[in-house]
Amino acid sequence: MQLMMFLLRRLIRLVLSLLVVSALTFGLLSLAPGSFAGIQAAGAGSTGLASGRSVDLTSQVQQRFGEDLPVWQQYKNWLGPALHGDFGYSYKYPESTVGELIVAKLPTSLALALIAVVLALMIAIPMGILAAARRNSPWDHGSMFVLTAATAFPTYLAGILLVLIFSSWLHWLPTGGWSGPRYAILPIIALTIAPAGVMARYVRSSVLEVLREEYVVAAFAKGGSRRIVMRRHVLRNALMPLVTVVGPLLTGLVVGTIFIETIFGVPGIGGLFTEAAQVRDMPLLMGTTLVFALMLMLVNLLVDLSYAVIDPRTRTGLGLSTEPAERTSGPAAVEAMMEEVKP
Amino acid sequence: MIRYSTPGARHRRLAVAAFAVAVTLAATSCSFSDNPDKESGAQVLKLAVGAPIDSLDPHFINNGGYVVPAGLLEGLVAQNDAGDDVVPAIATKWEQSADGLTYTFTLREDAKFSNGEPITAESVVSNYRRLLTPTGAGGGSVTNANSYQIGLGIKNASAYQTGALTDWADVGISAPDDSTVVISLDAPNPDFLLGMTNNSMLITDTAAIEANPKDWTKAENWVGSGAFTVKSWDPSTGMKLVPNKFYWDRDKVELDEVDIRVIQDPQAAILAYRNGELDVSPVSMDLISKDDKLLGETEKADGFAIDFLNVQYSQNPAAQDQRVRQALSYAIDRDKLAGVQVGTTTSNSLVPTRVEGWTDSMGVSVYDPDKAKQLLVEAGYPGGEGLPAVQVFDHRPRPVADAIVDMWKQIGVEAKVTIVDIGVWADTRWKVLDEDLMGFYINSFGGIPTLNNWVYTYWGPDSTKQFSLAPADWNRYQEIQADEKLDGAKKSQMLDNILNTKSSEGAQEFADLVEQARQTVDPAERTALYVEAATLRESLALQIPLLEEPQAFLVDPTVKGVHVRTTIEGFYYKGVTVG
Repeated sequence: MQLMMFLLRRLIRLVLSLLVVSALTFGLLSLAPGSFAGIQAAGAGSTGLASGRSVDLTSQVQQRFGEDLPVWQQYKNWLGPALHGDFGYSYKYPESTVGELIVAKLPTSLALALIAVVLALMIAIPMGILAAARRNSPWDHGSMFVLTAATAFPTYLAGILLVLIFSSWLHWLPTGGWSGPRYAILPIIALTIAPAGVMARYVRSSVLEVLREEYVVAAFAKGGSRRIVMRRHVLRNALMPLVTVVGPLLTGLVVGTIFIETIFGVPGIGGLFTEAAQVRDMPLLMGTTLVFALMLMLVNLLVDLSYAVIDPRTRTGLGLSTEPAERTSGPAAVEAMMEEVKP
Repeated sequence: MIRYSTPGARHRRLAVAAFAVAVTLAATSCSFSDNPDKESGAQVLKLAVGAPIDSLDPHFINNGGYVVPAGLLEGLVAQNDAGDDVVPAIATKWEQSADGLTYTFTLREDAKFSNGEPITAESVVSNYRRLLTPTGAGGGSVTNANSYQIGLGIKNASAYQTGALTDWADVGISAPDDSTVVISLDAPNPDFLLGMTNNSMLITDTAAIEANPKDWTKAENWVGSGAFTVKSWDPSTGMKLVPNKFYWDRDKVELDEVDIRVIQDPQAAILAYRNGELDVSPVSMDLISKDDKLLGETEKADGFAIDFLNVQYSQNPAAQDQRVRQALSYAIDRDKLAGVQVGTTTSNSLVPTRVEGWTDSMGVSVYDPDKAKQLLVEAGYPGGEGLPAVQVFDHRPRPVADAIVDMWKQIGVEAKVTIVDIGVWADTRWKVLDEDLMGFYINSFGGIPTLNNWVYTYWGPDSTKQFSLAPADWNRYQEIQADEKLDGAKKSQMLDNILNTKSSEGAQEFADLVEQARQTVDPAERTALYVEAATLRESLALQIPLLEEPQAFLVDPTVKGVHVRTTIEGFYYKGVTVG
């Protein structure tokens, strides 16, 4: 029941937030100079337009897209159908609805981002733990050097280098395109490198912090084995900050794959979003922005729920529980463990 | 109670992680397009285009122009291999009236759309009616491909398109019988037949469009008139074409499939070509200038586009002074610009040198810094003193703009490059600048290699008159354009009145010469008049030519039949062979 109430509250907040985001985005885009009609006229055939009746023709286009109406009326006209899930036809891709475009592109971006995050976690967690557990060792310095370099390595540069090495020199993989699983390998690696570096550094510093906690010291002092203490007490508590980072990182990867999409010809949503902003494709930009906002909010919801699973203390704060939670790790759990391991 | 991890629990976690990766991999696989594997021995042409294929509707300006004319739609006539004349296509023959004003096309009996339906004269007329309908063509699309109508000069087409005329019967396009199309012009036009090969003039099936007004370009609904039809299409990744089995010249279509890949990064396209993933790729010559192998595999058509500066309106009278504009043009060393943008050639005229009839006399835009300084003295700005800052107005960084600014500084002019977002650029390039600034926006145009196209259609009489207007007259002109209370005919009359009475003497003289050229049937006389008009226009320096750019493609040596022309699609897929 409490979970249902929690989800209901979050759902109401989510809907209100989306409305605010839509109004803000629409308003800001309307304030931005330039219009779809104007940019199209400038980009193609504008000599002809200049020698004809350019403003007449541009205004015809504006009328067709409703760009000649007051902003509030444009927003009202957009919002009505949007509330029913109809975001209209894209200006840039006039033969496709915004919904069709998003449905066609989102799974690709989402899948790439998910795989990249999972791979990054698989690299970051063990490397971060090892670096922390062997602090100031050559392993620590070496791995952190590599991971810091990875963090600072721009994704587009990684993409180009990967193409040069694996496509141009070794001829193992295609330079780009999207016709089978082998086409996804290089984009995924390019997307994985920087997040792996970021998260490994988080894991390392977080583990180091937890290792200094009194309950960990106590657990070691009372005879807990290194493996058990690390797994049961250190890792569980150290992962909390990582969970906070992973959510937005995932959303950022979905949205921010524009360079990778361009280099590798991946049909993702990042390029769609960027292009919509460049050519002032209002329906497409509104649709993609709302999808990103929705994703961010859903990911944040998942992060909050995962807090409650990982650290029961947060359940009260989230309104999921009124009772103090039973701890399976941390100081109280150490006490319990010590009781249990008493001879 | 404490729970300890067991080996079983560890395995479960590993299994969960593996499952997560498998699910996401499966999701990725689901979004892949068709497997590229092809039948053994099949001829598949793999080529790149440099921009998303956002639409296939030829009646609007869009990137469909890169592929649609190449094989999906065909016109009454098509271009020859050199791109300087036409050959029969849907029409088997045509006749021109003695006064040069009427063309009568006879359609071939076996011309069919890709659904097997015959292409009749009524199909052709209906197609052009859709093109010219104001705001029309089913809505939801972009700017009408109207600019080409001005170049063709079809009787009353432009007036009908702008709404000044509303009766379709007044437009010079008709179908007296099932196999005859008659097109009347408002003046003789030597480029008319070549203009009919433009993307906007190709024949769509309006019946198929009416059946699926919003989805007619989707692969499953596509009905075309060209040598190929759409197998699959994703705007941002590419498309696959297969032969149209009903095409009248099916025997000449050698390819079994055309696999088009959108590659927006020019370097990535070159890499893919080097890697053997592409047979043909558009290329910018400056990117391969030091690679002899790739240079040897390049097919190009020179004189495709002209890069130019276009004057901006300014409250400062210097912008209106022809001598100042000429001085700025004389200060530009175009040979050096061509060194900055490798692969281009210098352009001393707004007409590309490959155009038949081009003469040295048209190349008035040359490098002469002494003359530039002298003109500034004559205009009352010795050493640039008293001139406002001069800007090159652009929406993306380009080294050529920086080089021009440096050259202007060398004659004492305070100059700068202003780069803004493309939306700002589009909105403000025709706005009147304040008194402390004058400038030129930089742009590029390409098209068919004829005098009529480069003297009348591009920077033609109306355009030249417009840019010669004083700021107050230009503002008035725009007010009339934006006045919704005026009907089309009245508006046109008022706008023409401003252009004819307020534009500069030179612009009016140019317009008169062009009009004379258009009315002249004799080719030699007409050419002489166009040359005289172009020479005069170039001396006005409202537009300053900079460089000529070629249309270039990397073509694998195993590919034959790629005849590159100066059109946006580059070449026709029909007749191309692989291997």
